[in-house]
Amino acid sequence: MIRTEDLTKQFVTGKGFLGRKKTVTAVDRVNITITRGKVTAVVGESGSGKSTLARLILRLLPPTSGRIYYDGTDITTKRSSELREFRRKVQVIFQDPFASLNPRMNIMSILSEPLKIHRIMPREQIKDFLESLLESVGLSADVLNRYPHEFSGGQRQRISIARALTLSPELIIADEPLSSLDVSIQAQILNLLNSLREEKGISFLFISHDLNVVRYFSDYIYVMYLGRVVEAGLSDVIFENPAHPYTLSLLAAVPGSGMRKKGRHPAGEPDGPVHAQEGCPFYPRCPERLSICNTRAPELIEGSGRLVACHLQQ
Amino acid sequence: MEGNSTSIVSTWQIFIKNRLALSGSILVIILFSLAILAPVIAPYDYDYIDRHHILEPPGREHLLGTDDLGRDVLSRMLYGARVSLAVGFVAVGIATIIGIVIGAIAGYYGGFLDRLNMRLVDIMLSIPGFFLILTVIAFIGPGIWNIMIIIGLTSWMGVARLVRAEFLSLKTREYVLAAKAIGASDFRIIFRHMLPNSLAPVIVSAVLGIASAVLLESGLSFLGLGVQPPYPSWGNILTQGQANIEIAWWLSVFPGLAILITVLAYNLLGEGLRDALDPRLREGR
Repeated sequence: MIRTEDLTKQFVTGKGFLGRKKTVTAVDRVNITITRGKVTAVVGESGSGKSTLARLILRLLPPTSGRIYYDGTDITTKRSSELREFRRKVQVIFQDPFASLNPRMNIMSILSEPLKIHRIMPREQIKDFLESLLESVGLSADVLNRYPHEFSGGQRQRISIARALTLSPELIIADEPLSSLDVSIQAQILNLLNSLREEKGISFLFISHDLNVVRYFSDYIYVMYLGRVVEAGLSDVIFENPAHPYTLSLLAAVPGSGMRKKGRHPAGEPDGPVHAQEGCPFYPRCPERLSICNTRAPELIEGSGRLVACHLQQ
Repeated sequence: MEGNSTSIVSTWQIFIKNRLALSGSILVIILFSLAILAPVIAPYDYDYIDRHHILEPPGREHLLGTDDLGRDVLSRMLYGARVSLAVGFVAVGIATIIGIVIGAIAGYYGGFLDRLNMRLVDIMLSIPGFFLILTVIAFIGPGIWNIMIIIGLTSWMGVARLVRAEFLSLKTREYVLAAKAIGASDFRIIFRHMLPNSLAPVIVSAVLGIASAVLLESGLSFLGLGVQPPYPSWGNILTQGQANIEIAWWLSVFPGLAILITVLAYNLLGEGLRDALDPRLREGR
């Protein structure tokens, strides 16, 4: 349903002497496919470019190069007036429910805005529609006249989800929708998302660093490291038998994953993407690095039932 | 700025606890009432000439004395208050609207428009405002409407910078991105989502701006380039005061005090508002 082709985003961090631009590559030639009716997950540490990728796909940031296809049409350079259909069918849920609702608008205005913009229904019907929508995300109808600051994190996230649902989307891009919530609330929200998938058949692009959640929720996984996809495959395959040392170390870090012995922890923090150069981006931290890894970046190629970018596997 | 709706109550509480700010706002209210009620409470018309009492010191018949034509200084000052307030509000209104539009475009669109607008701000700021106004008045002639418009057209730069800075930080907020993702137009995002969340510093700067507009108007009227006699303004009463300073102190002192108190009142009000609206300053109190 959505496919990206060598999607790349570079941020300009500063201008050097004589106007030479310094750039950081946040997303580096990423090819991902979001399949209708499935949950596609993107995992990785903070700084791996997951959120930037989400913003690129949503056309909230202009890509430096590469293409985005929505149902086969290239939407990379379409103007906002030509994106109406896309904007209606693809919705977003952000990480921080305290930042994603306008503090000066009440819930009624927040939730009715998408309906007004896309002229979905006459004004008189909006209230009834929103009341039943709120019920379906587990909120009562009397929240409509209240303001975002009156709600807890979990309730706000439900409101964000309700906003994403107003336009009956086909795809919801969820950028770490759970990570700023308490663990008990996380489970409730995850169940809500799960029921949306099962009952309404909504597809998800689920961005997370929480592998337990991803394992439970997703069908297909992309593992990103410093802007590149290092491993991709069906969720069962990846979790049973990770191939890339980075994936292995991520899984090893999850308590109770049974991967403790197999994977060794990588040394230190991820290098800033500023320093990533010719070799494999994981080279400085990789417990199993070879000499070739420092000089040539491995390609993402097919191997043992998934895609993996590692010299060890080739 | 995190000033969301929770803070309306606490903003008010902080504001009324601040004695100086409170007295500033009471003064502003008094000045307003006096200006509005001028035709009712003024003992004489502003241009009534009492030929028997020329340059009379403050006394029972003329509370603040009379000028060199025998006109009542108190009455003239009350009418002058109307000029000051009108100029303050209209000029600041014009400046704020221009500043918001220029700053919003620069902050929201960035890139070329940002550079263009901000260089315009730099150019405007590099010209000494008072002399620019003098030059323009020389061409289009003095008069109350002209100076309102000119003061407005030459004092929007601060607001533009403020709005731009707020917009730069709001642009990446998730609720703004969320609005974009549901397909809201630029116009809607700017006016529904960003502007309401960046108004607090603009209001403060507008209130402080009124003070400097009042001062500017008095200065121009003093030089004879503002409000034209016989219509009174605190500035042009001062001009008469200067001509007669050795024999009639009341002609200088009272309008001078009026200007001083007005400017002080707006500054106190503005600073009080700033402290109450800015949560970053709250912590240290």
